[in-house]
Amino acid sequence: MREIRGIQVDAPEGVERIIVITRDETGEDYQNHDITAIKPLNKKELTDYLRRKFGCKPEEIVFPKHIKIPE
Amino acid sequence: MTTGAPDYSRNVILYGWDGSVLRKIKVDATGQLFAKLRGVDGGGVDRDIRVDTTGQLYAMLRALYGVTQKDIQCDTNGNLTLNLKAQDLAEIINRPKYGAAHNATYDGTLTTTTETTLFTVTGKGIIYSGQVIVKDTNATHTQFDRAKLYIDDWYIGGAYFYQYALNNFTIPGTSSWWIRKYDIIANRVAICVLPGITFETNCSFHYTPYEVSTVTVSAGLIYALL
Repeated sequence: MREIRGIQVDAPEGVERIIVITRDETGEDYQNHDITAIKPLNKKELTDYLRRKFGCKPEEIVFPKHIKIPE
Repeated sequence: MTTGAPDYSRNVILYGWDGSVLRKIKVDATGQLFAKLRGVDGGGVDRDIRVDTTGQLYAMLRALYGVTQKDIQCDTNGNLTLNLKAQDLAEIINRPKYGAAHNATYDGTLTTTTETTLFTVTGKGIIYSGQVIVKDTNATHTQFDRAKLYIDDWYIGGAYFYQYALNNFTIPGTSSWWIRKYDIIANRVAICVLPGITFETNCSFHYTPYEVSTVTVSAGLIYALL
């Protein structure tokens, strides 16, 4: 199980960067992933990225309600 | 009189009533009273209360969820697992758990008077610290620029730099922002955000120059997410 905790959009050195912050189901393992290259950023693309990254099934990726991501 | 015992010894036979017949209560070979305990289950049936192989009484605890009985469970270490939804303790000491701290930054130049989003964080979290540093050697009115804080899509605060300086908002806690440096000769301003502000869906910094110029803006935010 992998939960999306947040998405950060910023611009260090003036260049846009997008980071997704995740954690595992125990809340003990946190990760940051630079997903700037993912375009467009939506739930499908993000699911595909995390599935490849962690080898988990799409249903094992949790999108909290308070994080609004286009389908 | 008890046969074979001193004449001051007394011998008493105890009887128990099983519901229809009086029966003797026994002791074992060492004279210890022993008993087989029984309990009545929800269906009115008598059942034996057991001990394990070391003679320890064991029990499976159950609780009602509405009208349905559920087992109360423990983890692999034998610790009772609890999920408290309400409690009546006079006080409770806890530690909100946030994840690792993160840093959002912005470095760039703004050349229009359009409000620009410096960075956005989406999630539930807390601000540890944040600042916006401005340098504009061409502008004549940097003091009327504004750094703005939005929490959960709501504008929280961000007056003209001039107003913060005028009202001496230089101490943390006086406002959502407090000014750290205000030099209108060199057109350099540093303004800091109040630490400890929490957000439920998002948090973002914006910047609006007062006049068309080339404003160099560096901003940072240290925060943590749940």
